[in-house]
Amino acid sequence: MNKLRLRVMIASLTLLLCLSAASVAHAQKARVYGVAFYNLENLFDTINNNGKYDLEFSPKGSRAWDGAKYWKKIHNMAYAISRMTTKTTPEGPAVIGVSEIENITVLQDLVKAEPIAARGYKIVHHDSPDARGIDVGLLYNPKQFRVLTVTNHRLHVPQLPKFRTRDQMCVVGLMGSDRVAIIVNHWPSRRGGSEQSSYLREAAAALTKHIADSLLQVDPKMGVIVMGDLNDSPYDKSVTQVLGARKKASEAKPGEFYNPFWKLLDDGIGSYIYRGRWDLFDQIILSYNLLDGGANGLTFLNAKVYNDEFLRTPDGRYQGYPYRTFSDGAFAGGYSDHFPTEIFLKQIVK
Amino acid sequence: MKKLFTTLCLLLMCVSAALAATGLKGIVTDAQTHRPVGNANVLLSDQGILVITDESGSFTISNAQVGTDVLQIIADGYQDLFLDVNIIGGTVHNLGTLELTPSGFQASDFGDTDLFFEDMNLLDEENSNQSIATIQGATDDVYYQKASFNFQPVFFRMRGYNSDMQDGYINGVNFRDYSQNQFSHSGLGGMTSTTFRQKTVAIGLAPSSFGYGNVGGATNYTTYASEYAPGFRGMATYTNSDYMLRAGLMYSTGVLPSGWAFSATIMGRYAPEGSIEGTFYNNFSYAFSAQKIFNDKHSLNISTWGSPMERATARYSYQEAFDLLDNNLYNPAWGWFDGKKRSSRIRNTFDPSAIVNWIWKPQMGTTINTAVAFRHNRYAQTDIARSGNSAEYRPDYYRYLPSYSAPTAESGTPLYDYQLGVYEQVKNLWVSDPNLHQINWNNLYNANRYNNEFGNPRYPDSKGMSDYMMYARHTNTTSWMFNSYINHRLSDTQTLQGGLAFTYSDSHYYNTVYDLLGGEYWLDVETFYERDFDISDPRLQNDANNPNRRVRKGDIYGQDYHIYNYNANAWVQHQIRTNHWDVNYGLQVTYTNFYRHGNMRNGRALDNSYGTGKRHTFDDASIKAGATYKLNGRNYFVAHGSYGTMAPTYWDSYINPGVKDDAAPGLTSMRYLTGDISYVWNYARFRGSVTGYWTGTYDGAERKFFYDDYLGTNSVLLLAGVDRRYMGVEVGMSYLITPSLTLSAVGTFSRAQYTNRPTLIRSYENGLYQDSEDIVYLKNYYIGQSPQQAYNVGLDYAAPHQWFFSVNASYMGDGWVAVSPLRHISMDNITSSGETMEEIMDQVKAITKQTRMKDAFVLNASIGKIIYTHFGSVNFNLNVSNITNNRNIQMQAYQQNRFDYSNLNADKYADRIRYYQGIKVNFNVGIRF
Repeated sequence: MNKLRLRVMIASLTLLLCLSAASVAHAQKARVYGVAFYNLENLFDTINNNGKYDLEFSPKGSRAWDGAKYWKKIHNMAYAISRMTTKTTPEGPAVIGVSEIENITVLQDLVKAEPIAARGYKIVHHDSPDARGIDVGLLYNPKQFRVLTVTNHRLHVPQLPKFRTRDQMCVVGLMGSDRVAIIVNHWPSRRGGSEQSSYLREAAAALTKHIADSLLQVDPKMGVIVMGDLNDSPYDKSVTQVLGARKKASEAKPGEFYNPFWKLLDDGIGSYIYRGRWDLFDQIILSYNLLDGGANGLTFLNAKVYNDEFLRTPDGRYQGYPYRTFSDGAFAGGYSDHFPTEIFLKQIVK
Repeated sequence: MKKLFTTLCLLLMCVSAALAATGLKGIVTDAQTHRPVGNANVLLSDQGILVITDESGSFTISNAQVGTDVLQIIADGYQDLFLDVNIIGGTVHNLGTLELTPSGFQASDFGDTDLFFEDMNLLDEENSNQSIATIQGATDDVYYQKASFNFQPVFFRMRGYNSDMQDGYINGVNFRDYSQNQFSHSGLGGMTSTTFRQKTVAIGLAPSSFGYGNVGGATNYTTYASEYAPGFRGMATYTNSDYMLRAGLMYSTGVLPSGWAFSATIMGRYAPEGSIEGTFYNNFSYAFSAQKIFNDKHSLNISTWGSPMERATARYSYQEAFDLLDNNLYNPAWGWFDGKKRSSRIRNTFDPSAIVNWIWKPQMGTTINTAVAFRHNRYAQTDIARSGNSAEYRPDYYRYLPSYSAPTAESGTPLYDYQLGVYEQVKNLWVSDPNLHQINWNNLYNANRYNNEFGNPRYPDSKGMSDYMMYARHTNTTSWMFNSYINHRLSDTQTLQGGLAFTYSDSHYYNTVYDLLGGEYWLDVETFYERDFDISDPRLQNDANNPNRRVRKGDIYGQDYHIYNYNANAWVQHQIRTNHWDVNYGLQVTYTNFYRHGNMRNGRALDNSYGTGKRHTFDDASIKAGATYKLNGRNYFVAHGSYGTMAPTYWDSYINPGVKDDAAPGLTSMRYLTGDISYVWNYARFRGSVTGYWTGTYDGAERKFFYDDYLGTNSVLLLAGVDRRYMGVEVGMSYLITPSLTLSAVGTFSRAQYTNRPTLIRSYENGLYQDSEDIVYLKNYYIGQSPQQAYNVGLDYAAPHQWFFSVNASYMGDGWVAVSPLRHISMDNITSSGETMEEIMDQVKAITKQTRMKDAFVLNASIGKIIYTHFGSVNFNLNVSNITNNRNIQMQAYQQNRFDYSNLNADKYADRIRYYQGIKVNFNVGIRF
């Protein structure tokens, strides 16, 4: 073979190799996991079992909360969850963090409701000492998520020794073979003024950060997801400074967090509205490991707020607002005053 | 020594550390290859402890709790391993090597391969899926909210539109009152914060879910019993406007376990005398709703309400009278009688309605709402009637006003001085004597008493005939309405609305004798023509079938006819919502049919008044479309357009329905073309909108009825073929200075004008003159009354502890006195009004000038407080409007439909003006429990 021919052969072989390498890269497949959060707006059963606060949500209480309304709400919330599907997640989210639930019973009724019964969601739940009687919980699809451990963390606020609020629930599990920890939150409310109560949410953020740091000590590659109704916006001190969640993924460093809902709020997308102004309390925040270049096998894809038309009040004074179950004291028969939010993680299939 | 001590301490620490550590350790390996398994999950799940094996397969748990437990090891590709363990305090027990059996498959082997996507494509699949939810409801439209509340003193009309360009619905049924051709807000009985508090407002051409809507927007009030919060709502108000005291109570059950829901409201409004002298107010309102929810698919609601009212109203007067009495609220419609203030204008209304709604939801996303409604509206307004040869009773009749005695001689002459003296005397008398500037009831009674003894000289055998009486003009309308509309979700992004409606209304117009003022009977002849016709002339008769009838209290006389109106309409609308676009379009067709039926054979239209008259039919259609482009969640652009026709109202169609069946020649539907574009922004602290609109209406009609001084007869003016244009800019914005302090500013700059020269048809009731037609030179004249510019700036502060403070200021101006077409027709004798062309032109200008109404500046403030208690909440609200006591706010002003054609004196008949009251206080206490 002469020199020219040899060169051409080598060149074409290289080209072929590159092409096939590229096509192998192109042919890389991935599956997508949805990680969602939904504040269910006061999902209480009809039995009054803690006296003062639960009387409201019982047949004799001010809201006349009876079986008919309860089952309608269960059906509606299940219907809403059943519509949380996308092209890449047609079975719905792998996990759904929930807040404002009274007890495990309401979750048991929820997962058995007809619109989502087929998915066979399982429940992680724990009773919080919260004065309002509401807890956080996690629903998961056992075909997509496996629970390893569950720990519940109590928030103590030194300035208020008697303060009772929701525990933070940390669920460590496996999506495929990748380890991911989900911390489900419902931070203290803005009652008394958002500035005046900020220290409560900053304390909650500090607890969350501590949990996240401990997790990373167990496994530095762990993907930590902080989700919940934070009662603060992505740009508030508790989220940006105490928890340290950044607006852009590129700004996050190892050990830090990225909050994809900050940009969404900047663009006017909200999950909660007050007097015509959108806000985004229902956030899902990701640790560095879950970003492009992060150590975890799961990688963040994108984030979404579900603001479908059926979740919005169809008429009346609050037209377009999230369609609530109770509005101005009357049973409105809707869903929740918060929209559900979701992030999507991709996992390369080997 | 120090060294020993330090070492001992360190040792102690290590020992104690070693003592504290409790747990397990081990090494995990593959049972077959004996290779270490790294990254395996090792858990004590009950204790919530998880550790990971490192590359050498080893793990250590050092913070476990004492006791028995199950150790679990989970690793990808292996079967789970469960191991009973006993944890002893103070030791980290070494479990040694733990072997995992390979399972033969990996986690990634699981999963539906259909759900494996190309990695490169994933972002495209998911990324553009975020939809933008815009808030375009009326509650958050800053301009709409501020304009609706703060521009009321001047009867501000949105965009200057007539009230027939807005629709009001109740439970999905269009409750247009065809006798007034508008939605009657007074029919709500003042229960707008209780029974009628739930409403959906579509502003302008925005699409709605309950109807096709109208050019100026539509509002739907709902009264379904299930929608009210359970409990009581009460309120008590003190104010100084038309009424003084208001109290109301509402009770709702919410949806009970039986599926029933009930709600009831009662309310009263009362004033022995309102803010205007000589008026009073007595009103009671009630409402009741009952709803049965049968199941998820069906419910039935019945609602009924009514508001019987008796009140005395005022009459507008002239600036001269206001100035003389130094009182812009001077009301000429009352006088002293028997030591009390007695009004001549008493209004009695009762407008009970009932609706039955069947709401059917065959599936999620589809609702069909079908309703049958009934309404019986009774309206009666009194006034004083006088026989043909009796003196005018109105105290502000132009001949009684001092200006009628104004000096006419050249100033400086003795005659002038004498006339001035007379004028001063007349003026002083008129101002100081209430029997001169208010109605002199005793005079009226005396005249009747004279007739009781001696009879009316014009009529034989007329002892007991009243020269003056109080009569009532009645309009009783009975309506039946059927309505059915559907709201259907076609897909995630599309909805469909549509509906069908039928309305039948029967309006009965008639006069009755209200109070004979001491006389025994009233002679039913047309009093205005007594000087024109001999008493035997049939043209004098109102009812030639029963000539010269003597009527007594409660008897019908004068006019008695029905107008029957049928209306049918069908509409359909499609809405599409994508991530960046909201699009809607729709279509409506309407059929209108009305005719008159007279119960009297009027002497001036013997062949043309009694019995069923000509049927008038109109077919109309309309199309509309709108789109919103959502740049992102913070900025969007909106555009709407609509073209259609609207049937004329029968009130603008009949030339003089009290007398004859004739309608305007060439009766036709009005056409309209309208559009608007907006830019809306919604940032965290700053939000608002800017809108530009343009509306043209063509071939419209306007009808005015009045007494023509010059020709001595009642006349009707019908303007036909009227073209109008409304255009302007609206801006509304609000800025959050702090989360509790909001600054808002709204404003509009607009023009509402006639854009052509319509045709004026004049019809003379006495039949002495033929109907005539003239061209009216109205082009570019302002439509009048509603101010064309209005601005409002305000601050709202939500203070701690549920206090609310608010202050705002409005400037409303650029409003124009509504012109009378009589001043804008060609007048043959104009050339003799001056010697030079210049003088003539000056005269023309004086006659055709349109006066600008006074601009108004109003300052308002309010304080509110809510107290939450264990049983409910109490709220206090003090609202003070017009704090500066501005008494120069003109609510309405129009030129009289009389003109001095003989002398072409532009000032002879002054404009009629109505002023708004001065400072207005409203103190309200509300309670919810």
